[in-house]
Amino acid sequence: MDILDIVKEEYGLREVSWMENPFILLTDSGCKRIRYWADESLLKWHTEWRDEAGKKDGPMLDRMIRTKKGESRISVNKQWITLHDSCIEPFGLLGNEKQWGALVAKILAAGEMEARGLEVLAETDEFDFQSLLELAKPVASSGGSFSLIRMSLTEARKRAVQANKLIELAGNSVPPLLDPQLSTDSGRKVMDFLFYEAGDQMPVRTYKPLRRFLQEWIAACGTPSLKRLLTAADRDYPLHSEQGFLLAAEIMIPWELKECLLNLQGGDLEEAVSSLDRFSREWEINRRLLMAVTEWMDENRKKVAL
Amino acid sequence: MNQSKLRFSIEESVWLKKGQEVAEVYALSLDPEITITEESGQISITGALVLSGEYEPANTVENENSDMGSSSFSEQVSYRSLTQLSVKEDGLMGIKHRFPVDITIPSYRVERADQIMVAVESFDYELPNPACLELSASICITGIKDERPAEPETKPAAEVNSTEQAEYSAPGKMQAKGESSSIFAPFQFEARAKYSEEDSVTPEPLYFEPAEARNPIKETVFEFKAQGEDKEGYYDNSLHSLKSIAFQDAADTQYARNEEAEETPDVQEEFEGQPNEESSYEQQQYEELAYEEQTYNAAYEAHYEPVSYQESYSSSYNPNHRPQQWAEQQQWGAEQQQQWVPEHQQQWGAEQQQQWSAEQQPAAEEYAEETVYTAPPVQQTEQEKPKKSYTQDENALYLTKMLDRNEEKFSKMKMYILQRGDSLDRICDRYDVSINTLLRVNRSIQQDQVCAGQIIYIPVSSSR
Repeated sequence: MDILDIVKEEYGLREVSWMENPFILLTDSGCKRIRYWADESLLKWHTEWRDEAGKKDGPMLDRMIRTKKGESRISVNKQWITLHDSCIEPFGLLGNEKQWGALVAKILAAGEMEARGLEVLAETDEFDFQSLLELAKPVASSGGSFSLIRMSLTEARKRAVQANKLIELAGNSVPPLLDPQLSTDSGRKVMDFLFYEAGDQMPVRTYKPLRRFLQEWIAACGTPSLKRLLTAADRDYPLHSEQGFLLAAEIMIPWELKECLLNLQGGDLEEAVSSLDRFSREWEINRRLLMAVTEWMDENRKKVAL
Repeated sequence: MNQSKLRFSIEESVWLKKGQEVAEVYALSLDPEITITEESGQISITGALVLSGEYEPANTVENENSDMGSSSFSEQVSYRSLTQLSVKEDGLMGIKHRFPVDITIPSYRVERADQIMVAVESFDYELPNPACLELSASICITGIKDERPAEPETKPAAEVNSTEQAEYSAPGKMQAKGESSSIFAPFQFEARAKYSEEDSVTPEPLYFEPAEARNPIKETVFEFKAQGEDKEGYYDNSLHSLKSIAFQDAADTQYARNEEAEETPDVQEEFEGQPNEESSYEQQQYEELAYEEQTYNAAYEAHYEPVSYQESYSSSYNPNHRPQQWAEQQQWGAEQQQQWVPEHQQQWGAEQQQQWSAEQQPAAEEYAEETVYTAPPVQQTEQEKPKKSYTQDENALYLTKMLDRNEEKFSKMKMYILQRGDSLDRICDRYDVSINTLLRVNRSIQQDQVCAGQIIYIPVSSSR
């Protein structure tokens, strides 16, 4: 039986055709996205996470559309298929900080739910400055553009030290599980509402996806907009305290340097030039982000003190 | 004449004064600053290997580990733009240290002085503790010819020990010895750990105190040994300091030969006869050779009379490396030999073997002369003491065992082609050797897995 027929039958649709085979369907109920799942525990987490994030009013996540029987999935060839609403029109960033902030808070809060077996699978990428130095050995002594790497090593070590202090400040708090594909590009506009198309990858217990999300935001909208976003998120999910320290620590860690050094290991000149360029940009944008987040935390602290 | 590479490794510990301990090394490089001059028949390679780099002192890290104050969060938690970064303003300490190099090579070993290149092939470092930098590097000198004229270095054939002459009467083999003796033999040079005030004190703010400098003996001689092209079988050329390197010249070599001539034959013979189980290429050559010989003599003994054999032997066995190994063996003596592992034939790949093609072989008279040259090696002012042994080399272990056990002190190897109907027991009886000895020498064979045409090596005692 063809997937289209299965979907048509299971979900009670009248018209189903491929819009973008094998992911996007055009149906009599609008565009739908098919997601394929091989790992049942991962599917279960994403189902519950989306359901949890969609409990309150406000921005919506692309929950699993239920079948005629009320199931969140259908089984096909020892895999699972889920169906989601899909939209094309992007949801703007600037001026929509409240809605995006609310979405961020929902995602973070939903990430705190019990992982149910996913803990062992979740990525825990800890930064190790010694391994960074090992990676830097071949290039740190080189001149030219590579001197940038050498100079940044000092600052990178300071960043790593500071990040550890921030983690200590956070005490026993841990970051929520996050979808690694968190991105401003996934926001869709549905009747002036924010509709967010989440991913299907293994969640990670780190603020790295939010760091990347905020980098995208500050690059597109600037510092004042970012602070408004944080304020909006903070209303539903406290970012000014322990979780804020963890977020700041994640921003402080020089991940961009590690990524650059990993890319330089290949020895390809074109890739090296590109990596160094990307590293410079990310270093600067991340610096702006850290400044914005810490300033926002300072402002929040002053308000509390008053 | 073939161009050759001289490669040696350096292992060096650099000790730092209190207060200048390293938190993190950010950059460290070793670069040659070399001048090559030619004077009175010698090429001088002088200059230095310059160690330079930057590191973060430990004390600044300790300062940074202080608690966060009560100032604003954004002031404490921040980092600088790349455009604001400057190495000198960051409190980094600079490392600048020169390891003097002084090498002399007889000019006949160099075709053109401007073709000599000194390069740091690899360089790495470890930081075992904040006050010590452990450096390791591989230095390569190219542009040196690996042959030498036979006439000024050889003794008259009459001086050759008669036993030795009998052992190596085959011209091909003698040629091989002669050639092999010339390869790298003069490339033994010394590193003299002279620590002058200038050497030991580095530019501010660093002070380097190499480990050897703490030794009250102001001058220590270290031996550097040339390495072949082998990547696996490195000699243990661990060096405590590279301060001065000097090749021994031809006169030294001759003097050394005269002094140590008595010791040479046994070592030479044993080494020469040692089969190398690990060199499949060589083994193959031996086997091909063996099949050729079957047409001459079914139970051929390894005195290598036929010309066809000699050529095969010299081109396949390719013992170019031997003189250096002999020299090392003699220099180190029996105790050192236990630690030393010969850098076996693996290093002599097809490229080197090509140079031993038949048309390149000198005349037979030269072989006789060269035979003398191979016997006594160069003298060294102080014996090198390898730090560790390469125990994986079974041949070396076997050699050591043979040297240790007087009752099994064999002086040569016979190569025997197994015939139909032969058994190891019968061969042992015929050559008066124990089956255990035979199996130890021929580790690649099993007692019940031998077949006609297979080559085995039979150790023969010098007394027989």
